[in-house]
Amino acid sequence: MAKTKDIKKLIIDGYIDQALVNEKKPQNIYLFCKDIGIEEREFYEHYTSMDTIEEDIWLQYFNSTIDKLSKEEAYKEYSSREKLLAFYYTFIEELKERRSFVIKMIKSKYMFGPLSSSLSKFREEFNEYIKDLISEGVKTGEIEERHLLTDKYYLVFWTEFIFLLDFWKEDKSDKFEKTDVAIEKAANLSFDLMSRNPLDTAFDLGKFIFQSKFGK
Amino acid sequence: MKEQSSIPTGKVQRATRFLKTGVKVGGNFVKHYSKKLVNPETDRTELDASNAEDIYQSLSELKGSALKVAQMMSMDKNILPTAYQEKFTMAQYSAPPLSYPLVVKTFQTYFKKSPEELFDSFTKNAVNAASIGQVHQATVNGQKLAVKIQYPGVANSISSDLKIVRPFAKALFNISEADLKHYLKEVEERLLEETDYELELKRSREITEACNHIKRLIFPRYHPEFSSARILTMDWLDGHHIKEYINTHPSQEERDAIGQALWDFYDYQIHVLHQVHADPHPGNFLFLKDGNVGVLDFGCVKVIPKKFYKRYFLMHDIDFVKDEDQLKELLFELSFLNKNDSEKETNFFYTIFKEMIDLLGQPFHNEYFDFSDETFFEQVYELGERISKMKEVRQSKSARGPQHGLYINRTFFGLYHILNELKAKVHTGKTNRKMVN
Repeated sequence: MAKTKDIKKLIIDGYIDQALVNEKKPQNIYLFCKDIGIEEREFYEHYTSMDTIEEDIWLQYFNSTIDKLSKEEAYKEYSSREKLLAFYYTFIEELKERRSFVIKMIKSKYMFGPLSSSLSKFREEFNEYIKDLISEGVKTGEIEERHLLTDKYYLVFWTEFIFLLDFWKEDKSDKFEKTDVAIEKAANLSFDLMSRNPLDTAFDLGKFIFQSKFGK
Repeated sequence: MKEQSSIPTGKVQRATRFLKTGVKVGGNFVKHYSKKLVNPETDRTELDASNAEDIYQSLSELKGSALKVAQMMSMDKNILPTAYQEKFTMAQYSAPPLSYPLVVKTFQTYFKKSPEELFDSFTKNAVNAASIGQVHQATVNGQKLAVKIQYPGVANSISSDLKIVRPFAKALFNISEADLKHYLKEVEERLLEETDYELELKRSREITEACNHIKRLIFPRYHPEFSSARILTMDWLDGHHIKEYINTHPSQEERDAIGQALWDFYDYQIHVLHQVHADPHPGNFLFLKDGNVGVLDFGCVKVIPKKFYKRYFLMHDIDFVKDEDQLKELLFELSFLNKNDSEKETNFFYTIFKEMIDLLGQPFHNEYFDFSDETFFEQVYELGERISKMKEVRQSKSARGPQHGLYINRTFFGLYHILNELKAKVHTGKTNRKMVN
């Protein structure tokens, strides 16, 4: 088991190293395996193609973020809003370890499109996590249950996440302080919009008028 | 208290914030004048009160340096109508907090540990808001600690904040463009220093060690092991703020003793240490049960340059200021008077400054001074009011007075104000000044 893990690590480290040193992601699996000194067979035990490596790297970032959060005592008592904030801060912190490589990954043109294949697995996990947060928020009354809409909230968070990633990529402030402020703002805006706000009251009035006039 | 999610950092956002205030203040004026049409008796107090309310609202949302400016303005009692003062004094006690995950994140960044790992206990919510940060309470080995955490991005937003405050402050406080520039440059320097918690830690320890011998004064111990560029930790002091303290009806002897301690503290800093805790607003003093007074927050320290020191404090010397020629020369050197002024202007400003020196210098010109003397304070406010209304002063193109004097004056105003609230009689003739000269 230990050996399996070592090979996986070898592949990922080698992949990142080559991508950074050669300014280009390794393409040829045979050459790549030769360079890092493993059998091609061993490569296929873990990955089916070069693209799946990147997919896995993102997933690892997600998993280690969740892992760290679950170890924090305070996290369990957080409100949904605070949990989301903590997630973002921890995640960005994870990325910092390998900032140049991450920026290289983000710069790929298919980041936003439906082809964002390297993020696909990450995205699935992220969505699951967010959906949990939302249903928790609905239970505690932090998030307003809105018919049909509530099920789509998680899409908003994906956009928010991509925005923050992009912001961090461009951030040149000391210790990336501006990203901290951006996270604080973005997360709070999304939660303010999802909690009960004047729009709900307006909708309520609109519905009432509609029903009284036409609903008979 | 509703948690405020973020500081509007962008210049545009902040400008919008101020613009909103501008509109509201404008609205208040409209209200005021329409009321006046109906009822000519309506006086400006009501208008000032609603303006102050709106201005305070936007300032507290801005936090950071804007809040700091509000605090400063609230200190200079003489340039503020009463309604503004009361609202702004509130700024000295509260502003909405930042989220807890960000607090945790800040600890992670500087200590690689969460607050729970670092301390035995740590309050999740801020117990108090400092102008550029918030204070949490923690305990370690049974010792209560105050942990101050700075808002991220404050240091970067100071310059852009002050640029926005400028036109606004100018209109509101009737200060000439030249004065304001002068003023804000010095303010900016101090504010930038204030965001440097490492500097604050160093100065706190220096000054508190040097002043430890002064009776009745207590300083919290600082904890470098729990401090960093954005986090500052000190012992927690339990005590009353001045208003609550006064309500406990302390005896005259008590009040005199505490007043004396504060006076000696400032005298020693200025004349011996040549650097002074320049933020004597009421929130920074705690009155403890054992009769001592605790001094907090060495974020704002004014270092007094030698050259400036020698000249400036001559104004406290009653024999020196009696001699008109000597005083005039000094006023030129300190740029209260300008070589470019016409003779008429020179005479005009000389008369004003002489009056100010005689009045504000009174505590220094006597052996004992009774700060409960309301007529003295009324005279000071009256003079301030009168001067700010003089068209010669308002139209003066050049700033008058040395820039270093700004924080020194503010310090004395703050000190006078506190001694006045204490109604303390102080032995002011006992000074370290002569020893140094």
